[in-house]
Amino acid sequence: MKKPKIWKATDDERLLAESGKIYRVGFWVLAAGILLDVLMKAAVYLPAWVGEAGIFPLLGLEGMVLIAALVLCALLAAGRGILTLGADPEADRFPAKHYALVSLGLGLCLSVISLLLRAVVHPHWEFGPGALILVFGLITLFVTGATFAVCFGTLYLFFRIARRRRRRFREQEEK
Amino acid sequence: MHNNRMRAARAGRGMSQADLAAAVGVTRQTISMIESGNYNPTLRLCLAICWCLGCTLDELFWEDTP
Repeated sequence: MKKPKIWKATDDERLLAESGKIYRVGFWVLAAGILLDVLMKAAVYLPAWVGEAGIFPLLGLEGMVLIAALVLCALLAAGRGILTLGADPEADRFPAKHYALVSLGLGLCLSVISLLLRAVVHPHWEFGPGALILVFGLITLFVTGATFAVCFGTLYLFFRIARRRRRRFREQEEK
Repeated sequence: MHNNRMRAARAGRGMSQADLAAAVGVTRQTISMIESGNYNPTLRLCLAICWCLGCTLDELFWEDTP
């Protein structure tokens, strides 16, 4: 029996499928951790940070790499003509309602996490309930609104890229 | 669902799971899982197994609808 070379990657489809699933779990845990770290930094440093050195100190290198990794994954999927997030990855009409709900849900989750972190790090209870409601309301509005806009817009962009790629595949098949 | 036909075909050729695995380029565990019905192989792997055992897809993998 031929001894497998230790440096050669496996060709076994089952092992590739299994490790793909395992790495996916690892990727999402890592992504969630980095996102939490970015939000925590925002809660701690945002009051001092506003108007200073741009967005880099807030995002940090790990945040930039996370965004790059997510964009790369979405681009690779769109290049194969699919949108990985959603019930129908090859829909020809943009499922606006579905993606609006996904974006809104993500925005609300992020704003709840931001509010919790903010309440722990910089509660400022001395401002009184009126000011606190105003500040927390503004944070909720900003985080939810910004996340919704970025998420929905990005999904629409990648949907268009994926659809264009599918059309090109179809044209090539018909030739 | 156990694939006893594949197990029988392999044994009929005098091959161990490890021999068949080496011949088709997968691990022994993958062959074991296919035979015990715990892994659903791709068509490419099914064909490789059929070529190796000298059988057709129908003979090894076809199941009548329940």
